[in-house]
Amino acid sequence: MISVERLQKNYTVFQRRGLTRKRKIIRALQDISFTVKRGEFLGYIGPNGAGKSTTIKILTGIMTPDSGQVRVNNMTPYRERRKYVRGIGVVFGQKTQLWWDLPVKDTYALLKEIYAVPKDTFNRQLKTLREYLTLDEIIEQPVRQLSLGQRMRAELGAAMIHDPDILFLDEPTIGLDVISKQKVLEFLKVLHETGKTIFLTTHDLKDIETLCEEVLVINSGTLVYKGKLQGLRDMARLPKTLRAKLAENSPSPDIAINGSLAKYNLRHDPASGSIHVELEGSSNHALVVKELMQNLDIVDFRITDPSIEEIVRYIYTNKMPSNCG
Amino acid sequence: MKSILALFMASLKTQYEYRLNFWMDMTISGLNLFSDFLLLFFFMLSFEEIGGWSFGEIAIIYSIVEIGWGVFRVFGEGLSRFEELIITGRFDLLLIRPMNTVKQLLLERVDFRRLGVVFEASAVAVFGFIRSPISFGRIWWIYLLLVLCSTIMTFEINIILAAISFWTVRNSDIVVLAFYSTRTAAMYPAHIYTPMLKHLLTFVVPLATVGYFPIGYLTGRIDSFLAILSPIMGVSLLLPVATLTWFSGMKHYTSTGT
Repeated sequence: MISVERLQKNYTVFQRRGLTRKRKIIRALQDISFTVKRGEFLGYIGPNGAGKSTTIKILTGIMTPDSGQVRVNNMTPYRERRKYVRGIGVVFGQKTQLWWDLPVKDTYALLKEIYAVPKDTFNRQLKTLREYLTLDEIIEQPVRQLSLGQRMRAELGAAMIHDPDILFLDEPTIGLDVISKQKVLEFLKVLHETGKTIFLTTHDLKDIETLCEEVLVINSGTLVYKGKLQGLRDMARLPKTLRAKLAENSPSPDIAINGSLAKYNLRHDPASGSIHVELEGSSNHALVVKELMQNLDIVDFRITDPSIEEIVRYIYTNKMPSNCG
Repeated sequence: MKSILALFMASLKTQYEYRLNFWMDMTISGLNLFSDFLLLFFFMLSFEEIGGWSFGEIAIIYSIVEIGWGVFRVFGEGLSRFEELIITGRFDLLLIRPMNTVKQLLLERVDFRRLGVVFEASAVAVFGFIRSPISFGRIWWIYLLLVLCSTIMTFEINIILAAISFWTVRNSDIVVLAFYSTRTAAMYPAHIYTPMLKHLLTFVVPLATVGYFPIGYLTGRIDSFLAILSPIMGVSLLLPVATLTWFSGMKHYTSTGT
């Protein structure tokens, strides 16, 4: 459905120093290749300035790459823009595509004409969207009066009103509170279940954890990982962490930490009264817990997997050899 | 066609959203128009001729250029403020719609208050025809054709100037220099200027071809038949230039931010 081959994009920027200016080439995308199958939910993650937006702008036909091949829906987005955009929906978290001063329903009516959506299709689609995005309470209101969360729901509706097969979302959850974010993600889940292909960029990895099967990780214009989310975890092989809470008024654990438990490299955080241990994959976790219990006055403990943030940070900082051939 | 109408109506509705502002603006535009009229009236009484052209004839050239400008002001707000779209990256939003970008820009902020300029310039035309030997009854269709050419040319020039933003981001100074000043210059007989400026008005920003040359031909001041053909030539030569500049600009467009 989406295939990207050897994509390159450079920007020229001028750095000013006094009266002279220096030309500098920023390599926004270097040799990016990937494919997305029909019906896939792909998460595109990376830190700020990694090239996420550049990629999505090329995929939506907004920008022309310097070199490389892009095929989406058997079209080249930036060559056949007007025909191509009929089949895609786009949401920018930072830019509104709604008519700011008009009620939401007016924007939808306008989009109906612009995309030449047949009346029946439009009514059916609007009914579905009203239900899933709970639009009834906001559809009569001018967009400028909506809260950010409400507006984002209206944006999603606007992107889907012509019932496209592919949806591109550039940081759709940015700045949203937990509940609004949840609503957006639930809606995307419903879309995915109905067979839509979804391409989501985000820097909030929690979005991805619950939704995306496939992830691409980009850093400084190159892909550093593509594959399953679980594979990303395995690749980094970061240790699990055990956090144990000490009883209040318990004696200082330092003697035990430096003595009989020294081999585990415990870290003591006096402020929160807790102990952290990194558990290597090979170690016997039960044994560690048992020894801790015997030597320290512990009231609570939990073992956590490394978060994706930590994994990605690890990949970024360690410049791991990428598995993207 | 329906989409054009829908965008047009949305543009109107948007303005009417701020009712008080809408009516205030209307009133002020009206008053402005009236004061412009007064000024023009006294101006006309005190002048006799410029460069051998009677004031009536100059009024006709003025009206041709100014009506084109007035029509442009109604639809051209989006083009006039195009650098804002580039700076904020909002041009992205036009590109994700299955519609010509220029069409979207022209319909983005339709502003009927600017029609005042058209009325004002039409009144000047009436004055011009009364005061000059040219009979409106005989050349009315040529006059309307010239107004049409002037309108199209104003759009073409402004599309080219707006497209410069794709490369330079900001373009407002370029617009002032390349269009506002030449437009004013084109309202007067071009032979009163230095040859360089005259050539500029003929070949580069060819606004003299819709007013000075054809009216000069009709009043028997310019002999060449090219003078009466020049408006058609100007408009049709600018069209591919405008189209080409716009589309290569779009290719060059590097949006901003996330």
